[in-house]
Amino acid sequence: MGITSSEYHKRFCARIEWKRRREAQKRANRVRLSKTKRHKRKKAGYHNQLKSLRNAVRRDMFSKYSFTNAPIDVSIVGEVGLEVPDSVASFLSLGSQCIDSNSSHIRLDLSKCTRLWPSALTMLCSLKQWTELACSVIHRKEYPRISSSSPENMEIETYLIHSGFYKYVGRDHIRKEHNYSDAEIVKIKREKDRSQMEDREREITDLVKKYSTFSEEEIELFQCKILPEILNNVIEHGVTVHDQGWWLLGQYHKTHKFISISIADNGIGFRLNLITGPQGSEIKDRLGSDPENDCDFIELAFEEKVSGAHNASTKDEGIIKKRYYRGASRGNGLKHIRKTCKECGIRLAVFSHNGYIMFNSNGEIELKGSSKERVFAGTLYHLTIPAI
Amino acid sequence: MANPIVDIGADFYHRLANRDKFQGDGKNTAVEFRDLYLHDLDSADAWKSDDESIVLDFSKVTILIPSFANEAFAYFTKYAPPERILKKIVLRNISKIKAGIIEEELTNGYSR
Repeated sequence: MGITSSEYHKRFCARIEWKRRREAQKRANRVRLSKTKRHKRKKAGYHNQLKSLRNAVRRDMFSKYSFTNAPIDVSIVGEVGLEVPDSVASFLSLGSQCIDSNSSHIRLDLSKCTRLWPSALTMLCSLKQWTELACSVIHRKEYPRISSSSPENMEIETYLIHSGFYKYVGRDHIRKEHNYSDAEIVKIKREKDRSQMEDREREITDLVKKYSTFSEEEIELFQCKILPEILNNVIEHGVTVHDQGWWLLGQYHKTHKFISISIADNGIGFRLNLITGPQGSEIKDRLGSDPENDCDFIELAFEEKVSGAHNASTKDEGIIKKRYYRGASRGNGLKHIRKTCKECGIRLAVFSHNGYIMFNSNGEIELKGSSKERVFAGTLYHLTIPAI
Repeated sequence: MANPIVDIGADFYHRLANRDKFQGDGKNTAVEFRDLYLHDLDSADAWKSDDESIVLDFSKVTILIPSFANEAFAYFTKYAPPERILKKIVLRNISKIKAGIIEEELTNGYSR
């Protein structure tokens, strides 16, 4: 005897219901999985979008240069650099004369120069690398020339060789006798690889351990809160075209009793980085986007929790007020650097495109300003560390 | 069963200086560290008790930056306050400076 028709109907409906629930469960699982995948893709997508936007900003920046203007002569008189207060004005003047000149040939007259501090060398290397980069973006085969007369002071010439500057800019030179020690310097070089970062960090740390007046705790603070944060910043923002777009130079100055460390990149600078990032619209409403406000952007980055990173917090409209959307706690790096420099008695200077800020060893702003022309091609962090 | 002891410097890396693959040289990141050693704590259920969960030995760690500490440890402030996090994740052989960095990031929090 078979089942009754009502029994058959019941079983049939139960089976249909079971199939329906199974399909619904499968759909829910697919949605859950695809949400995770979509979220990851969205994150990666936003990061790539931001990268493209910044590349476009960079191309736009470079497109303003053709390097066809007449040659210019730039006379360097006395000392140039950030290491001593008296030579800061010359540093600013050198940068503003050279970087945005758009000249086919920059001729540096070093005949009356008495000293080129490491920060000035870093600036000249930055200028050289930046012009090469600009030429590659605008598809110009011939680089603008940057040449210099031989300095009357032969110590300058030997230092330019010893520091790695001539090798960096590709200038032929004859090896000369000198009294400089290799142990007291971390030479400047074109950084080919992000993986070299750790080696360079170790060299700088060894220099600081050997010659600074820091205690063990201060060395640890320097190792953990200053140097890696600065290196992460320059590497994150340095451009990867021919070379990695970041470099550093460290020098122990025995007579002056300090160590000078310059770390630089050839990125788009603080202002463009912040206004193209996730927090860009709010920052732009506050400060605008005029290059002559560059120092305000640098100051903002040091004072408040702002970041141009792709995963920086953003604000969404809340019911009562705007609230920060969940995101990693970005934007604290520069505050750590400033606070730790104050704890260790380090003088810190930051130059980025048209703006600059210099903090004294108490962490107070000693000098700040913006110029009509760029004073540094990318961004420079300069540390002056007390030494034996 | 004894809690696992992780010698971070030997088993992971001595230089803890990258938040994620986009920062620094992109290697040995805090995100990887958290996925490798702390993934069991990434759920509300794991925080129902204050039992010690893992011991992290910092004896061979040379560098620990605030961004790493934020991503690796402050991430869990969404489940528990700093005091409870430090009861569950025990830090061993850690210098005063590095401990201070972790405590500061736990206090700052991960997200708002």
